[in-house]
Amino acid sequence: MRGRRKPLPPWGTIISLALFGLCAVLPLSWMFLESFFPDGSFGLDAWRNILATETERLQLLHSLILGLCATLFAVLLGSGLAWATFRTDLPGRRLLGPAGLLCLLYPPIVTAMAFADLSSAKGLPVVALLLAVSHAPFCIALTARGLRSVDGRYYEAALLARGRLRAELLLLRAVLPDILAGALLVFVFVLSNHGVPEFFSVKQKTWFVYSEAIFLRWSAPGKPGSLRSAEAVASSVPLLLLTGLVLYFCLKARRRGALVTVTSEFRPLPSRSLGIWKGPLFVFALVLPALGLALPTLRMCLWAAGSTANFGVSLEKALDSFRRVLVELSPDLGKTLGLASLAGLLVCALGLPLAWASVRRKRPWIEALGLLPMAVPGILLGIAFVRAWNAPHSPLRALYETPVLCVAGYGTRFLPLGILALANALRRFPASFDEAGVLAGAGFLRRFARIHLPLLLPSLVSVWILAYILGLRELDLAVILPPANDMVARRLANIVHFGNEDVGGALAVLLCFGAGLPLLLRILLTGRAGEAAS
Amino acid sequence: MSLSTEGLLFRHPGFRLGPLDFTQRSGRLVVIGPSGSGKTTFLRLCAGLERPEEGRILFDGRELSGPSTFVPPARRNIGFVFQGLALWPHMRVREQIRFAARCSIETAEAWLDRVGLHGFGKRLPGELSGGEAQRVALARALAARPRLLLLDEPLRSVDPHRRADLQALIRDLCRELDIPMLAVTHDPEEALGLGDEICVLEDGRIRVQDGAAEICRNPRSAFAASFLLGASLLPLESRDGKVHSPFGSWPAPNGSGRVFLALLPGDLEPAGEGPIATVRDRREGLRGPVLEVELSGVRLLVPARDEERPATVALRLRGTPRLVTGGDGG
Repeated sequence: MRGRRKPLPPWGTIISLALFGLCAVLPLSWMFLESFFPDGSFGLDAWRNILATETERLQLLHSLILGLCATLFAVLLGSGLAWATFRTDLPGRRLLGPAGLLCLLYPPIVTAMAFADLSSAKGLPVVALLLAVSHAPFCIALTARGLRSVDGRYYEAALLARGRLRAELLLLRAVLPDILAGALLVFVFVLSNHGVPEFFSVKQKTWFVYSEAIFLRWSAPGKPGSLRSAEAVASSVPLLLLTGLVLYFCLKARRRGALVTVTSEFRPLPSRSLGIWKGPLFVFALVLPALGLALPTLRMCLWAAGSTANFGVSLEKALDSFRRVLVELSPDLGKTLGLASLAGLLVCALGLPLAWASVRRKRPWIEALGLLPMAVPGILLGIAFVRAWNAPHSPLRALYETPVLCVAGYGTRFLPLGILALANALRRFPASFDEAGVLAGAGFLRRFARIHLPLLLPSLVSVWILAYILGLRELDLAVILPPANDMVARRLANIVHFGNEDVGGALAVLLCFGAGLPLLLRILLTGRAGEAAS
Repeated sequence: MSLSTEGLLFRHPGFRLGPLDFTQRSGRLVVIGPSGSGKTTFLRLCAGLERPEEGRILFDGRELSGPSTFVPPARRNIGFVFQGLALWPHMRVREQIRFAARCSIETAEAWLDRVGLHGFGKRLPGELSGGEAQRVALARALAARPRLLLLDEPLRSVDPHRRADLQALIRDLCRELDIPMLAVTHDPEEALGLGDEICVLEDGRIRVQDGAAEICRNPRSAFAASFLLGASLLPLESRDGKVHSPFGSWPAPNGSGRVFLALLPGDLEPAGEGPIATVRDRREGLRGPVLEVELSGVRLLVPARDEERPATVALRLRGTPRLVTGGDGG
């Protein structure tokens, strides 16, 4: 009983940090180091031409404008929908909120294809709107979280003291960190997206974004891999700095967002009557689900039913398309669902100990470091994996052609979201929950199993679902990583590119169903649509 | 069995607790002090949830924390009722007790019976009232038969009319189980209701420690008289080894700092002659009408003799004067 006991090393944190280093820090460091030795000897050729041409500067400007426009649209549609469904007596609000979140089910490229099929518009505002629709669920989820965490008594106190307008402004100020965090996430995802802008290039688009330029440098024919990689790395630096800066503010905003603990005496915000605005706001609330869920579903179903084949739409054709997908593409579909599930598990398995270390062991740098994979455009992360895991003497080379690379890549890409969400969940539980267990003499494993795991389970399931859905949507890594080339998001783009819209439509609908299935199961099991969806 | 500290010091930016030299002399000790005085930190140090910078904590003569010793909280066998109760929200009431005490369902239910919560075993913490949750937290802390019970603001979430019951329950259980208790609170009524011994903490320092009855009779510290008893403090002049007041002169008490006369309601009464106080207000009190008067810049309450409100009133001191010392009388 006497004597200073040597505390056990935090093995969970050490192992998670080692794996994180292997999956994120090592590939990225390797890639950056390699860019200084493009042909085996030290050289700065690749680094001399950063933003050297007018075209590159214009591409970066386009990226910025696209990011800002898409973010603006996403906040307007997503945060607006969250406010309307959470704060007001909007008819059908219990369905409209989750329906808005379901926009996440379709890959952005599918939404873009569905829209392009409907309209010939191809300007930057259209791309911004489509990317906004695809990423607006981040704004919905975070705004709803912010609104849920504000104690209604603060609002009522302001209402009594200064009137409705002031109370709403106070509420806006309280929720602003969450809205901002959602907006910044959208901005980062849009900046690194090259699939949708590239898709519109096929439709004779005349402007290009920076992530397209990075991809073009990587895929330039006639150059050795190390040189292409070096040029892609060097050219990505401005974008990297930009996303890094945005993520820094995102992290700060998220930390400020943790306003309430589960033990607080808490009164939810009062619902506000819309009066004559009920109708117009209902129409507004329909925009996002209509564009992000109904439109792609309808267009893809019509494609599957033969709408593009000049033979008319028929149920038989639709059934045949689905049958063909199930027969011919079921291995790809199965592989995609399986790998996305495993990537989700990896996000949970690594995210929890890292979030724990950041919050409970008071190591905030871990949370900041954990954002690294998100600061890097998806294309660049893919290149880093290719260069590090396929290096001639790399011990990881044996795994390069295997699905392990996909799981590691996808898991790493979405790990920051897992760390952020789980760190936030941990912040909601007061340290005294754990201390009460400690004083009861329970060891770490017993406390974790009986106290922490049940409390964190809903967050863990949400993180898994999020990583799983984002894994199904991911196109950038699917393009770069060789074992991921037959992932459905990539297949879908190729199938449609080669004119097989009927199969593509059926595949997209099945992908959406596969993405939505865990969400549906959770809703059925918990019976709480809104909570499960967010 | 008693707790003691020697030179205990804990610091973090903007806050300092100690050095504290203190010994628990009775089975039920209550530490009282205003918010930010270091009460909860003191409990956490005792429980091992914080490590002291310097000094020692001993329980029953055995060192729990010291320069070369730190018994981890899990091995101290201490029961702790947290300020927010820290009832795990997903766990049913009887499971909370079973988790803490590693006991059977029957034992857990017996504990619930003991704290007056028969049939509450299957409820979740969210389904309990403040008082019920407090009883569960108490049962959880005691079920493991700790060597010492620590309570952080134990009656905070309890309705005023239920406080006496819960106070009696805590006292009875500690006596039956022969478990010493250390509670912290900022509520004087709660402190006097729970403790046999009171320790007054201010700015991380112990101002006075004594038996509850003794401290009421002679609070010694100006802060204790003001905070614990709600006394008004009349500043006195010290001259020639004596202190002088409008009511008379007395030998100067021991202790450093300025000397005050601590006046409780009822210590003064209107008289035919004596120091003249200005009457500021007249109102109804619980025991009849009272006058709010001002004497030497201090506002005091004295019983009103008749229906009228006089402009001034002569006052007389009843009983033995309570002379206290302190910084500014705060």
